Amino acid sequence: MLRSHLTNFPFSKFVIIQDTLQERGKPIFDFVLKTHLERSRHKIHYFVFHENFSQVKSNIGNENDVILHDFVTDSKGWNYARWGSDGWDSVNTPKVFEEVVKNVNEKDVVFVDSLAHVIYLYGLAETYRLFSYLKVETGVAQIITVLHLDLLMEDVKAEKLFEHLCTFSLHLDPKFNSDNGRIQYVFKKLGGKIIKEIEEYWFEDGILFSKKIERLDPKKLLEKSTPVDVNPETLSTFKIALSDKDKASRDSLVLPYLPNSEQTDSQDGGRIFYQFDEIDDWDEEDPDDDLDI
Amino acid sequence: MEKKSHKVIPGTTYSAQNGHLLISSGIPSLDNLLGGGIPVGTVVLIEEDFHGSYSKIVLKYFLAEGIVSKHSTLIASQDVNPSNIIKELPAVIESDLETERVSKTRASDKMRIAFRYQNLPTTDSSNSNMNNIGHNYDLSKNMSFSDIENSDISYWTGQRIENGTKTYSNPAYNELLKSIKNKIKEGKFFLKDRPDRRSVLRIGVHSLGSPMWLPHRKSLHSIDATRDLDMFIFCLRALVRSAYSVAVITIPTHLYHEISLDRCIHSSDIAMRLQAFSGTELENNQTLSDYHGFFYLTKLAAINSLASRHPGSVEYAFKLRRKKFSIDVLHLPPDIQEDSDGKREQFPSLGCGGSTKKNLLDF
Repeated sequence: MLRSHLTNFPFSKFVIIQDTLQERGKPIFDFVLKTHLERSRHKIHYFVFHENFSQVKSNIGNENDVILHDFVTDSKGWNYARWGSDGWDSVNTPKVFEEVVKNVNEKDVVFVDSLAHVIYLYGLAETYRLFSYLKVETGVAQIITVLHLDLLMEDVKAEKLFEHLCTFSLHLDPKFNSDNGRIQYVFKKLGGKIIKEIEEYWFEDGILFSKKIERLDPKKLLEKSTPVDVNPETLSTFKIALSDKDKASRDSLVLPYLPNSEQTDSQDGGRIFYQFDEIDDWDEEDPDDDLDI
Repeated sequence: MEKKSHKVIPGTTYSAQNGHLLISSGIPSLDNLLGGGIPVGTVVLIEEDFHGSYSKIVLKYFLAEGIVSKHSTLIASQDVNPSNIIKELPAVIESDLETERVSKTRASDKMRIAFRYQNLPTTDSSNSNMNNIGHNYDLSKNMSFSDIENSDISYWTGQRIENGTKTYSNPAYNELLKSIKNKIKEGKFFLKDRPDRRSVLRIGVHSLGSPMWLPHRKSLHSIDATRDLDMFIFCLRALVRSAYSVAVITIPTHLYHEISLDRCIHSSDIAMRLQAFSGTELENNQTLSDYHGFFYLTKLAAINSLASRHPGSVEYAFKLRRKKFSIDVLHLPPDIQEDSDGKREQFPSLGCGGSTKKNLLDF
């Protein structure tokens, strides 16, 4: 299910992969990138914020659909600075994320690696505003980003804020009782439905596979542990169960107090007249009062 | 104030309990819950559900009712374009959709023993005899464009923000308060004003205090760190009290700490919470399958009276159909245990049986 949620059309608008140093989310990020590259239906903007830019460039190779944006090598614009009258004047003004974001077209796919570094550079409020703008205003097909949880401060709760904004958040957990990592995801559908699931995932030949981890129901386990092969029918000397015929004859019996549509024109014999009270009988007393329960 | 001038305000009524001027929230079941409607001059706080979709619907009903009743509107949001909210307002319809579904009892539902209960109404009749001021809406249709164009609607997006205030760490709050004050002044909604035709201003603020309202463009502060939000609600209430206006604000409270939330509720007059089942364990609960979430009325302030109208200790739930959103008293169905496969158990288990293990011999 995880793979189809991630890659099927219509794309979930804003995907956040939350990872830690222990369990890296990059493979999933790369897998989504690869799927988009293979389809090559959308133009891809790849914002590099923390890896070596030339390395990323060589990894992706000569893809025409990808536009790489370098925010690593010269984030402050110092490389080509020259000495002026009042300190270093930068010749190249550093690339501003906001400007690039405004140039993203409709139906483009945006990859940001990583969100935590964007927060470092621009602050939480500004980052949130930029991504909200990307999601709501520009009409992009999909935004995919990795959020390294180790790089966030505890008390700021940045991940909570971005979970509020995103439409699909994946949280990677370390391996547990299995060779595969596990993933908790919250998938918000357009109609307002929310899917919350825990799955274990692995890669086979570069393709993401996942399997739902079944949660054990304690009630069911208990039921299974106790034998249920005792049949009361065989224990008694009399008949307990009702056959279909018995049930039919029971249903056809008309009880004397029931409202009867057929008039019984019996000349002889007594009849029961039952007069309903104005208000239904109500007994104030608790009939089980004397019982010690 | 003379009572004569009140009577001409369209879309309002007087409370039978305290004589307060009321307007409809647009949802008849919610009006009943609040004692007929929302009192004019109050701030209504709605705690958003996780996805924010149900709270948006409640807000839309409130605004649609204003347009149908020819009230003025001010709508503010930083998260979405407020004009989009106005475009998606539900269309007004003549009759209630629910009535046609009543008295459709199948033959198998006929009671054999307790037949005298057969003809009892299934809903509480005590609520329905109140005269409703609201209208009915169809969520599947949008309000006609001409209706919207002919009404007095102001939008606030938080685009133009000047600096220079010390009260709030984010100037957007100050800016919104100023816009509301100007709107009240221009439309002559203040109590002291004497306009030719008195009307009510409906203020809708969508997703107030969301991360879009975070202070300082470059800060790394937590969302709870400032007192902007509750201060804003406090000031808004003061403003709204002195005018013919009602403010409905929705807040994504799941992002906030409980303490900051309590401060906000304290500053508001009516507070309600929508807790959707979607994405939680309750989603699979069969007894709740008719509903989409719990509805909590956290606060109902006593205005112009000493005795607060308390709805009693009843649980409420809301449901959203294709065309209608409604709030009901939560009725649990009879406790017929069904296992998760959906099959009914073959043998009824009564209270006399063993508590933990299920045995056929239990009686």
